Amino acid sequence: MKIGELMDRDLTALHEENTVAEAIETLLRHHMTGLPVLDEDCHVLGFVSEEDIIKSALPGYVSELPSSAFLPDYGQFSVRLAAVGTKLVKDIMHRGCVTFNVDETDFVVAAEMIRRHIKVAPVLKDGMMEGYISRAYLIKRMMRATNPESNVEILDDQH
Amino acid sequence: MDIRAWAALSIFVGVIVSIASGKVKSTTATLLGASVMALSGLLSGDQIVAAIDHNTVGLLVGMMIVVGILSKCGVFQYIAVKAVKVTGGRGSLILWSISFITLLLSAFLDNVTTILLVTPVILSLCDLIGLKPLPLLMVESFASTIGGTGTLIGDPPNMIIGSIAGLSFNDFIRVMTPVALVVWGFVTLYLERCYRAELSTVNAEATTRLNQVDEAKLITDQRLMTKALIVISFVLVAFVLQKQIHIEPSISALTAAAVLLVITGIDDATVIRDEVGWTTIIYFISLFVMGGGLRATGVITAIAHGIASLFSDSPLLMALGILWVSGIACIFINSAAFAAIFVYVVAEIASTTGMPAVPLYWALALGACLGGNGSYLGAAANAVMADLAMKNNIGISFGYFMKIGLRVVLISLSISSAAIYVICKLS
Repeated sequence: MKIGELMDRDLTALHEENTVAEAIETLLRHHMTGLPVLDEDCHVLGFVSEEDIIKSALPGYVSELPSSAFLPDYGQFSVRLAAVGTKLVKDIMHRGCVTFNVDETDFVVAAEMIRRHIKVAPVLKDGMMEGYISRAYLIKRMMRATNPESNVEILDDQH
Repeated sequence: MDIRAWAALSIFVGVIVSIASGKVKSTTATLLGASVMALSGLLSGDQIVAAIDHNTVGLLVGMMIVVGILSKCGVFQYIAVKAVKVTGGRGSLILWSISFITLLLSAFLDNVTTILLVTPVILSLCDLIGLKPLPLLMVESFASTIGGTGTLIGDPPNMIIGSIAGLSFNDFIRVMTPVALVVWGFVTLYLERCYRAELSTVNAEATTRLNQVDEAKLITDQRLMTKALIVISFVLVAFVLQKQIHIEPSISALTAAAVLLVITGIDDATVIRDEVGWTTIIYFISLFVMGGGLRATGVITAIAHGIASLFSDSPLLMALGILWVSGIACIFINSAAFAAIFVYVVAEIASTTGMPAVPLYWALALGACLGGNGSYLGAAANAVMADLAMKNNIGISFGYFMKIGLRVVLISLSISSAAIYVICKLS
């Protein structure tokens, strides 16, 4: 099946000039783990995920230590997270994110998602964003498509 | 020199220049240089095999595996954190403590590994107690190079020189360790003076935080640590008793690596893939081949004869000349690369002039190792420290590091000159 038939047509996205605090609010409100950053013409400039936000709130040395458990807690993470909240999305987003075209097959998309460890990615048509595909949504829609009479309760979309 | 010699020299200079320019990575450049020399027929297949110093390569691989396994359990970070905690937050004391611990660790670990282990500890603890990390990062960088100078296994130039010259682990302890300790003391004193304003004692709240640090949580695997420490102790004993038991350090290191893999049950493929710096190994093998090419074509002999003619009457002047030329060259050229080639020049000088070779080898070892502190180019550990600092938004420019580094090298080579004088008088 083509991914254009399976994707979620939600166009929730961020702008470069949004603050990280606004990005967090949007992520939480829409139950998303990540959001693309678009320009005025709906071209994807980058991507901001929960991982990017948390990473930007952590000091660089954390990834070089075997464990940070030896450090006492003095609220350092919440202080850093509050400071990161005032930054702009363009300061923490990673550019060149993975995107899929509406014509790509579910097999190729599924394999790429696993190979590149991505949970959600924008779907494009003619270079402009048309929607999203997430792991959860891929599984859910595939299950509906292959077993329309399934009586499994479909929960609210969560990406 | 004939055309083959000029060809070999051109290839070698081309490799050095391309590395220094930053356009080509060092392993790629040396591999290409070695390949071109081999393809050009500048050295035969037998000469290629003979040129590769298997003892150095084996020692590097063995120690990388042993240290890599030991690093997994967090013991080195534990030691570094403890070293800061015992100072109670007093700025100068932290500087001396970090400097000493880095010196000690790098005497037995590779310098880059030491930096990778200690730098995050410095950054995290400075963040915790509100201390500026720059002085500690600088002292750590210099101390790692000086510490590596003190033993056979601390720095690759020493491994190469020790292997080619037939100098043992004990020889290095007897000669290089005292010099390294004196150099370390004066360099740390200089840096303490340099950074006096930044080394304030932290406030009471920060001291409380420091006391709350639980360094025991850094030990991630107590059993692994115990096994690894036992094995590494045996390795050190084997190094010390090298001449008595007639076992080369490479054999001891590789055996220790094999034993550790067996008794820890760690997946050997993962360790060998992740802990052995294959880029470094290929770099050294390529260097050895290029050195072989320079020897086979007579370049080494020509250089040696040229130098020998300058100081043929005085072994002391010859040794001092080698010390300072090596030291200055290794500010800009990777010290291992320099040592891999120049060790044969020194051997040829001794052979040509009839001078005792050992003092010349010590001069080369001191110059090559300590000169690396002059810039990011001379010692990879310095560049690694700067890179880790930058990841934590601390920029230490090439120019700034060199400004301090050149003074450190001057102090180091001056003290080494006195040491060389004593060595020459005693030999």
